[in-house]
Amino acid sequence: MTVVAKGSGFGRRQLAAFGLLTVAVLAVCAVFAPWLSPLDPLAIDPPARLTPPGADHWFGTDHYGRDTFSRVIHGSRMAALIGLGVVSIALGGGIAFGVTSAIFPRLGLLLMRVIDVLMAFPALLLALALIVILGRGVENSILAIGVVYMTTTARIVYGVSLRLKAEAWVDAALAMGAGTFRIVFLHILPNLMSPLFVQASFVFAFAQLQAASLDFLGLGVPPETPTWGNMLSESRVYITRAPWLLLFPGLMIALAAFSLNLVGDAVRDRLDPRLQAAFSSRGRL
Amino acid sequence: MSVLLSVRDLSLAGHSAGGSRTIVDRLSLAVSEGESLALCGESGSGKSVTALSIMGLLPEWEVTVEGGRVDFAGRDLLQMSGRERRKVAGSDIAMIFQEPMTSLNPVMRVGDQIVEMIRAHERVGRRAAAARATELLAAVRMPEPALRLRAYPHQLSGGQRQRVMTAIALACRPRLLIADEPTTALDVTVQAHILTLLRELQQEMDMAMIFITHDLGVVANIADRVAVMYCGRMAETAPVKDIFRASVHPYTRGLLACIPSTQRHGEELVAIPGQMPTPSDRLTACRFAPRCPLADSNCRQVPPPAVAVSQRHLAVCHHAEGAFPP
Repeated sequence: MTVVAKGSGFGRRQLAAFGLLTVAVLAVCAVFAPWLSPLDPLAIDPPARLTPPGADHWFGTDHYGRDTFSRVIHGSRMAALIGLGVVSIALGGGIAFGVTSAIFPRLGLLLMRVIDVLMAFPALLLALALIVILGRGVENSILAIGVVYMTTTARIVYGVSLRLKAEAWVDAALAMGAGTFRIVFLHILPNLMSPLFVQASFVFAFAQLQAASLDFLGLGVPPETPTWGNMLSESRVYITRAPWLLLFPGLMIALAAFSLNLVGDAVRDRLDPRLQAAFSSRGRL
Repeated sequence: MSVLLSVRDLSLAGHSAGGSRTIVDRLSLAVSEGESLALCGESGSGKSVTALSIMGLLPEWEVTVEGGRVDFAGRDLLQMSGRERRKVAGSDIAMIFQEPMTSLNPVMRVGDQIVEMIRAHERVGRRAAAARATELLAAVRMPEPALRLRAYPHQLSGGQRQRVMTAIALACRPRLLIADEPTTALDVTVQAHILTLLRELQQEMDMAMIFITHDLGVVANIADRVAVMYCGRMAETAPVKDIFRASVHPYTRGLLACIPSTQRHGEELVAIPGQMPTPSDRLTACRFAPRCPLADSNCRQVPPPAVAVSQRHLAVCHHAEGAFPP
């Protein structure tokens, strides 16, 4: 999903700026939701049910007459919470598994087979299975989705760590008497950062999709909580009568996923000193 | 001069899908304190892997030590635990590698890499270590050392990176420096600078050095003594003057004949005919025999003896004694 724009016009920098701006707006929505939303997202207003978008209700109302705009704003809170939680679990677990496997090859063979088994399940199916075991709820959604993306993260970390371990500077560090701890924290982890930033943005983005799917299936966050997935799930029967009920939460999910990917790419380009050198030698892009 | 490092009957075996084979065969060599030894040989002669075994950096699934001992300052390195070995590596023995382009961590400033090296072995504060790093960069003749501390490796040229590597290697004032073809990847003019630098630092710091090279041409400037390896075995070892003036081993003589000269103009380049046998062709007798102009039936059947040509000059050859006028 790497977006590469070349030449003039809507280029790399503009895309990055757009992504950053969107993520910033979403972050502001998440933090200041109670102050930003014009109405209580849970307040029902039966006479005004299924109102189309207009001056009173910018994004219309749902089948209980709840204000969609306010609910979309509040939905960004849960989206941010789930995204951060999933990224922490996926990256934390992925780094632990991946680096350990690369440093201790024999143990690594075993750990990586476990990861392979987990990866053999489709992402949503694995998340569902974990929810069945753990029970539903916000924390368990985060945990289940986190474990799903931990597998791919561990794979990436493992691959990159193996490559890093074979680098001449690791040999050089060993020759200078560096121990395993020093090798891992000075020479492997810092070099993992740029691929991991990109991975984090993807995981954050896909976590939105998975969380929405779980919510849509009624196995995620309890339905009374306004999340984008729950909103889609509740209003799917009104798709012909009130399409705005699906349009706005759907748009938010797409926008969040897209802009996070743009930010991830931009961060990678900024962080990697080798890439930066390549850019500056080719002139500004 | 007392002996600092002595390698005795070191045998190394390489393991691959095709089976195991001996890649270094009962190799012995010694380096005295403050002495510079050049270890020469063509690719695959086992010189780099010997250096790695001294450092304890052998890729354990591919190469194993089959026998022998490596004594450093009276202690056998091969018997040490990993922890003890790491203490020796870097502080007492340091190593410079072939590829200055990849031997530095690309995401760490070079100053931090020097500082880390110092702090890995000594209990000093960051500030003190940073001051030492500046001194080290100045010592390896880096222009504007204080500024260069803050550079990332990709901002430096190949020669500058090799200077940084040298600074890292010298950070804890090692007693032995192993330089594994440190100039091979550099431009010829930069090569000369690095060679001069290494020689000067080696003499200033009174440090022993093993300089690994495939190029006999650079040996004259850098070494006190030369050891020529062929196919995992020692061929000849002698003081540098004797190697150039009075070498007796036909392989050494062949190598010397290969160095292009500015005096013999327009001549064809000389080459030793044939190829080095691969370690899997087990040759029990003299391994150079198939390419040797002097080889006779004796050479092909009996392993050659180590002949003391003079007190510090050894040649492993049947024809060493008396066959060659010096």
